[in-house]
Amino acid sequence: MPVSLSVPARLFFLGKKHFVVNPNKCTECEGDYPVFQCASICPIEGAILNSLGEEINPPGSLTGIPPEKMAEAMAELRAH
Amino acid sequence: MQLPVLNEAPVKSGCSASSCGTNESQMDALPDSIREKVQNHPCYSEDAHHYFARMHVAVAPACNIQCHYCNRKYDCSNESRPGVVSELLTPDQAVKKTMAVAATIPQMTVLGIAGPGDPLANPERTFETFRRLSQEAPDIKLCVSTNGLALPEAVEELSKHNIDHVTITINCVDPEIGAKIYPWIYWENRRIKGKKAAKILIEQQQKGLEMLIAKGILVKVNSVMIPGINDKHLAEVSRVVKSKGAFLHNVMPLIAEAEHGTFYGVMGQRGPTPDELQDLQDACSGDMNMMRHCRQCRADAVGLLGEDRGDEFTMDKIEAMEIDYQAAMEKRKVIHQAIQEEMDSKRQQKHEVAIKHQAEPKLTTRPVLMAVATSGQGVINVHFGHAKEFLIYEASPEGVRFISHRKTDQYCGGDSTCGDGESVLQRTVRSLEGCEAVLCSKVGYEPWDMLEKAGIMPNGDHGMEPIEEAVMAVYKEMAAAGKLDEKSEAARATG
Repeated sequence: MPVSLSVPARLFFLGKKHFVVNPNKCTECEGDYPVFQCASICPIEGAILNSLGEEINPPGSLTGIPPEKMAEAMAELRAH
Repeated sequence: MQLPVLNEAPVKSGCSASSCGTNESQMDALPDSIREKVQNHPCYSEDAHHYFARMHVAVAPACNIQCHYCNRKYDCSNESRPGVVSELLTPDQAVKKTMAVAATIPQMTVLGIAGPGDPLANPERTFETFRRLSQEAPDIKLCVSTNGLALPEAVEELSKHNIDHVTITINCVDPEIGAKIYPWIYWENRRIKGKKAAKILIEQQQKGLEMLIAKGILVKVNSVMIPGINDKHLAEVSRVVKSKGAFLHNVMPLIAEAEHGTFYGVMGQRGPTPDELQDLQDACSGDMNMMRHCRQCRADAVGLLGEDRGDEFTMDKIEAMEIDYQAAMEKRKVIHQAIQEEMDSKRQQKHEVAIKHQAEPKLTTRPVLMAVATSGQGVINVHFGHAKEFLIYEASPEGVRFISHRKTDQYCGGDSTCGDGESVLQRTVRSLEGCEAVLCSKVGYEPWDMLEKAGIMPNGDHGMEPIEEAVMAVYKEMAAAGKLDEKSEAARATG
């Protein structure tokens, strides 16, 4: 049951543990909303691609953390 | 040694029976009607948190904003990482779990929905849970906490479910500052960033706050203290929310570790020191009732504040339980009454001690911080090595007041497997920095030695005694022994 997402109802189904967008039916919300709804609410960078295969929210775009800074922090953590 | 005696009348007089002698700022200023509503709420009453338990049910996965200090680590469709766990419950599971906990832990009085996302960004799931619980478990208080973005349109529905407490997290009232805390919000089907986003969020929070107050719903405000970002600004937040009718302000320290993957964690933003937090809480408390016993608990916590009994109530265990809630409710009522009587008698006792304290010659000694090991009931009842946390109290000529809690790594679990026990013990001793005494039911030889070397006086003489009385007794002993004449290196210079 989608509650906070306003993705048009015909475009998704309930996955085993979470919602999955049906790539064959995805219209990128054209005709329903001016912008992608999934990509407007999803907080995970790099998770959603557009029809050209590009990340709609590339690394750093949502968290504000520069990717090189994130890589640095992760390398630091792995070293411990 | 001759203690200097002040001849003037006691400075603090006309104290109320509920918190007298503790010099406690939290509940003193509340009208009786509010005090009655919160007296068995562990999160809203410092007194009650020694006796009553709470639980959260994680029914709300989605969030409509991003905060720089938050990472829900919730498994999303296209993301799978090791360590990412999902403990999401359906409303039906949440109701079952709540009733199972209420029957097993009768002192559990409060059910909150606090995430892991924003409860009001998941209105169907949140309200379905509230609707069913207000019918099926009417003796449980319901609470919700929210970032406030979706609050105004939820107020009407909230007022229908016998929810008399709402917590709003308000970190700022200035969009300039907000833009440094919230990278984006989801608003009217768009993701909005920067100052524009912060302005909308702030407006919604303030509007929601005003609407709740107009409905007679109690509002607590949570703020995260972020040094260099909003620390100077929070006194203003406190003033604004109090003027609109919020009854309690909870200033919490930022938690930021790189491994949490949050903006602040990765970018090296530090959290406040205990001293900085205390100074800000003291500054805000001039304007507002201040909450100091918050444990910043998980969105699925179960039990007394500071403990988590979640493992006893996993869904598979709950499915196997048979709960007769009618019978449980009767038992709960008897137990709640007994706890209330115990609390009342302790309050009366505190009151009498305070009157006695006021009649005595007033000390002019400096304040001292002391750590206390307790597992509840307002008494000193935990062995030093078994303490999961210490409560920090300040003793001064004015009386005893609760300051904060500090978590420890337990160095001894009671078995013989504590391999790196010593380093954990050292960390525990270090966590008590600034304190000059630690009161426990017992202290072992090794930690005793280490505490003494660190300038912290171990004390096992007050086991099973009420905390405030014991702290005052130790303070007076220190005064009589001349230990409070000169400022010690370890002491806070709060004068």
